[in-house]
Amino acid sequence: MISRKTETFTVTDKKELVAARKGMMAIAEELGMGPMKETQLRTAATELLSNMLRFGGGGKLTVENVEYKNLNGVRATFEDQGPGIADIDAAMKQGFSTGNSLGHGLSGCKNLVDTFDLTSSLGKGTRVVITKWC
Amino acid sequence: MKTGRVPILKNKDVLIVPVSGDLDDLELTQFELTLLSRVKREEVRGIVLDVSSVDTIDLFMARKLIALTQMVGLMDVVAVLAGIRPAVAVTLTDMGVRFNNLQIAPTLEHAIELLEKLKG
Repeated sequence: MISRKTETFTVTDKKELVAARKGMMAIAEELGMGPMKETQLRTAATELLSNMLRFGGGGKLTVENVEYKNLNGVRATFEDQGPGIADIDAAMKQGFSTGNSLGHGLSGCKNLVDTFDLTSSLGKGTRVVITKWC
Repeated sequence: MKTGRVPILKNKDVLIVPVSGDLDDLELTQFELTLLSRVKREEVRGIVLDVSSVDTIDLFMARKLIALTQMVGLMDVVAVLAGIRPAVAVTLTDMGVRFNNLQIAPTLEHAIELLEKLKG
């Protein structure tokens, strides 16, 4: 996978969340992703950035314009130094109907993107890498 | 009470709410309280939640919208969700969101017609 362009955003409040998401979407639009996939990517990012603020105490978003074989897309890495997720399997299973009002929405997120990779260590933080191809 | 960033319009006994995207959790919660108090105070019979300008509905917002329709339902008021964009509909479905028992209309105009019909 070739990474052609990288931008990093610090997200510690809602204003920065909006700016980070805008920056990410500018890269998606530049690639001509299209309204449907852009909405899926934007929603996944909103979910992950909101989690970062709610549970992780803020964090960092790194956005890359990536190329793999004949595919172009956006890879986004969401990192926080929050408490981490104790039971990732349980968190991933928590769906719309079972989650509480602040459900992580992780399984929903996973359905919106092409790759979804979550790593988390207790007391150190959580890292989610997603890719959305055009 | 402050209405925050969500304007609430009144047409006869129907409240029309052009929901904006980019509301944070606090603003959404404040909006919910404002709306409920207006429903009580102004004796409305129907609400249209117009989401046609919203390009992102995340789980929190989806849950809030559903909860809101249930809350006003308890106050004997019908809420109609109007104008969901195609890409948002796809995204909500991908995320497993269910809008069961919810009145839906394609546009604001259809929503008002629907409320007229429901009220008999």
